[in-house]
Amino acid sequence: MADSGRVTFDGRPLRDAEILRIDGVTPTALVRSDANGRYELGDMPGDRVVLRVRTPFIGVWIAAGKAADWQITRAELVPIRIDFRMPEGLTFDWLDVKLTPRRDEVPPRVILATGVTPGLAEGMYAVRINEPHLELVVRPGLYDLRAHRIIADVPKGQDPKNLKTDTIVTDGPTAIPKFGGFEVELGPVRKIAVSLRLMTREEM
Amino acid sequence: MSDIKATGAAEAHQEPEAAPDLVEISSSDIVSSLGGRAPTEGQLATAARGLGLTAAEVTALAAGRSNLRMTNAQYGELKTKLAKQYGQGLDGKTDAKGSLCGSSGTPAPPAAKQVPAVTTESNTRKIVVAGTKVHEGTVDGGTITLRTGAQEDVDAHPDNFTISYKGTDAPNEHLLQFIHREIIGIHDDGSAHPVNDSLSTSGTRGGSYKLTLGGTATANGTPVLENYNTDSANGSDPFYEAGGASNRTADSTTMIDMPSAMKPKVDAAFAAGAKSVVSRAHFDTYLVHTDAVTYHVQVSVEWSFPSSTTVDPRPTMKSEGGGAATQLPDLIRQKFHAQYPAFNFIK
Repeated sequence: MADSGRVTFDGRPLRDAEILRIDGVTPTALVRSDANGRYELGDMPGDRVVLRVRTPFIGVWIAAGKAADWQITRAELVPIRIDFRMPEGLTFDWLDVKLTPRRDEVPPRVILATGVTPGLAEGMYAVRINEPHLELVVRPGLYDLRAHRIIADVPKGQDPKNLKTDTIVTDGPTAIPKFGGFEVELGPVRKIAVSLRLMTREEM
Repeated sequence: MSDIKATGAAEAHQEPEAAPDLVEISSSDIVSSLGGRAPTEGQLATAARGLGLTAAEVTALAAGRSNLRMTNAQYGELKTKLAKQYGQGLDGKTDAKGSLCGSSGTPAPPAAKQVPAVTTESNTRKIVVAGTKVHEGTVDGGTITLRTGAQEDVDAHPDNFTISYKGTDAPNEHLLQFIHREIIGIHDDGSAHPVNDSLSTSGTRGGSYKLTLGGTATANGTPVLENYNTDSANGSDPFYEAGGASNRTADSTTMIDMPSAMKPKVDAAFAAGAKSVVSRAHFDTYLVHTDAVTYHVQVSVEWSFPSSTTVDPRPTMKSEGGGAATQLPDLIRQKFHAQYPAFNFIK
């Protein structure tokens, strides 16, 4: 019998949600929900199932055992806004923003897994923005936030004006710098101001 | 395949099928036919390659280790091509009006299915530490050399690598470099987790390339098409000299590269749970002579981050080999032609 489930948002089917079966910390299956919100995981081994949603909101849900039915409601989500401030004298053109939920139940490598073969994304949700602000809807919780503007392999002597996050100011708990990004408690934090700075060659 | 063959070369060749109208031509015959004016080895190579000879055959011919078998008509065509080069002053030393490619950043389009000779010198980079020679080969009547650990005067960074060609036909020699990268996080349980993401680049062709997957702490991943990128900062000129640090003189072209570890992506690997991270950049650099690949040099650069607090570690740079080449590998050629279609005559 197929191990299947369904994902809905406010009672409507949620399409293209990702469902991972994991065995310990190892992904054994990765599927997407269809137009009816349904998914089938097959018979690969696993002890937990992880639901990853990137649109129209961002969040991770985890269930023990087999495939689950998830009924997500708007009430359990919060809107957030992130504003980005450029270094003096520079004009905003684009920025890569990455947001990854941190969950106690699973390590980041589960949330970031790009498939059943080894490979981890830099962020579960990644977007390139062309305006210096971003509005999202997220499931409350701890998140890793990182923002860069990076042009790689630039010849010596040329300045690509690569940018990284310098400081973050929130309307709630302080964001904690970690591994080049910041951990921030979204929910209590709804507004974030990110100040960017130029990167040095050594930081590349 | 050409019906012209070099004979007597050290490299293995199939003997041409017997043909009654084939004549055997040595390089001295060519000199005689040009009234005693000896072509440079590079000029000879250009003309001979235009008639379909491989790089190995050209090298053997130029070195006097083999002769050419060709029809009288083909011999006439070869003489005409060489004579035309003399007439146009393509010895690279006097024609300042030639189309530029590589060092100028304003290359002329290769309308004639060949890369225009670069006759303008640009020799402003000062290499104060030459570095260690890790590979050297002979090609196109000259020498190609890979050095690691080179340093320029503009900074104190000791980890540049340089690739230079020195020879009589330097204006027709161009360096075409390709890169792929991988960044691998090693977790507590010893498992390897490559970062699966893209890099944006300054060139306008393609704009980005994906990091290579499949690698471990000690083994390289296997690149696929989407992992390769033509390593040029110029959207219309694929050669490294077009935007990269380089020097060009009448008898040499030298590129200087100082790759970085892509620390932000190394940080991301630590954020994903890695206890140590390895970042590798792989370079395949080809010498292109006028319209054909003639040599391949491979360089690998590896940075080790034993912990998340490691800052700006020095890389390990090494030669992964090199030698005569006649064409780009399939994947690299596909990517190159997609990114720079005007140069699809370079196979």
